[in-house]
Amino acid sequence: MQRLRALFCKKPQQKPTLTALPPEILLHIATYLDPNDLACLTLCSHGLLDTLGRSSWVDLQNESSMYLVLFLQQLSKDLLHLIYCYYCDCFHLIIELLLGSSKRLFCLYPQDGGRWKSISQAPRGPSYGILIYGQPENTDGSVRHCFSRTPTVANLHYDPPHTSSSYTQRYSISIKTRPDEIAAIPRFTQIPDVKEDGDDDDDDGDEVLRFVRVWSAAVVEYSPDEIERDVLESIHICPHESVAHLAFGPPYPSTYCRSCHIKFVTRIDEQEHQPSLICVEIIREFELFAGLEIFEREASALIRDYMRAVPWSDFSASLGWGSYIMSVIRAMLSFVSRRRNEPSLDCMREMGMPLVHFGISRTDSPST
Amino acid sequence: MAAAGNLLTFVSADNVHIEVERDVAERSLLIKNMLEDLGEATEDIPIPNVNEPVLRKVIEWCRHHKNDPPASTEDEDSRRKTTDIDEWDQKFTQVDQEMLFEIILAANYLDIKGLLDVGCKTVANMIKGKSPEEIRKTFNIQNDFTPEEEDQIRRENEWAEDR
Repeated sequence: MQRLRALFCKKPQQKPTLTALPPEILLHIATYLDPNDLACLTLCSHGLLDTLGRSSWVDLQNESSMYLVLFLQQLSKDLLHLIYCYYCDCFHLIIELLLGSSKRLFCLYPQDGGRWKSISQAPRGPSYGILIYGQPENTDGSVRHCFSRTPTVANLHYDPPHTSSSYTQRYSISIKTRPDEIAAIPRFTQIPDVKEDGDDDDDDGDEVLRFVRVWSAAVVEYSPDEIERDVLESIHICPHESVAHLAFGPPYPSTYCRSCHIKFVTRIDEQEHQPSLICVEIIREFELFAGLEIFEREASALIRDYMRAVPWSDFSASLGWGSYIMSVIRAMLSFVSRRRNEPSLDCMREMGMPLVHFGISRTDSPST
Repeated sequence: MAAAGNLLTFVSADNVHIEVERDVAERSLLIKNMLEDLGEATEDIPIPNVNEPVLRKVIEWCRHHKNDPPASTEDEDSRRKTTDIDEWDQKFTQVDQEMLFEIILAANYLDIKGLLDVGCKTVANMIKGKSPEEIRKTFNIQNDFTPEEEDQIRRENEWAEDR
């Protein structure tokens, strides 16, 4: 019996938790984790970092970029003030935080050659501003922000990107404002030089604020009394697709909404009929949601968000959205059930995420 | 109570006697080696680090897997292993976290590789896809990184770029 007792000497009892596991067991668990998951685990506490080491961080850089992407997506759930950018594999400050959670940020890249008409709004509804991050014409290159809170945002003409000798893509965006509207632009706005645009076909006395190098632009919706100069001047906008929760087609065909864990893949149909269709593939992990009711609520919010981002539709003024949204949701669910077993198109689907696909009809003129 | 015939008697940490077939008990390399050293086990075998509920779970696993082939060591060198768990083992590991970790510790202590693998895979699957904060919540881990340290880590690794 003594030999047995010597073999099985009792060790001090400790409440079993993950962090209390012996290092050899933690390392054994680590062998089942991909670099992205292991890196997240090491970031939980000093003890885990010390035990597991930093090799996973090196692996993130050296192995397939998929792991880094997955890691950054996971990390972005904790970094509420940052948003992951697919384009450059890093985080950018999210403008939404600076403006408050009730504000929305929409990417402002219309289709090539597109022209943004005035954005409709109710008299007491939210206003829209335009933020541009770039270099105004006839300046020495310092980055400027331009902002307008005029009730009808000035026409914004977008020229397709053109090549540049530098690595930075150049865009040309001009904001046309009527002379009497310039006075209405708040005094705190930084405005580049205003000059006449002699080449414009619409020679109706508009002034043009032209930016020759625009790295990004955005439409910001805000409440009339809330915008502040200090906030606006500190804003930097991600130039890439991920800054927007909602994508607007080429050249921004895909984006990921970290708040609702949805990947958007947007395509504009090639049939130039009116109204045209914007097809949105939504890839989401259903396991994140407890049931159909929650999914319907999330999907409803998603569609509302999406429609708010389409400036040529007036969401608030539209009638019958409730029934429309529900029918879309039913179609989405039906689509999911049909597509669940189809071959996956990308790694997210390979991970078991079903595909949802719905179309939204757009109208040219908002109903008011 | 002494072992009789092909039966062994384990004595758990809370002093509960549990009879177990020898071939089941020998899924534990520790027990197997001990029995080989001792020859016939004529005494109760104390398992002082494992309490009764955990020991019964371990025996349940060993009994279900008593005919499994010995664990191969070929795949041990592979850097990353699959986390697939068979259906029975999935149900077996559907226990609360405390029990799961107790099973892992018992498997490690008793040197039952198959059970240790199943437990570790289960924990790995609980970690997968989660952010650090989600992992902390899942396993009740205290975040002892200061914000400055977190910033420093991000800067060192160029994960974040505020533009």
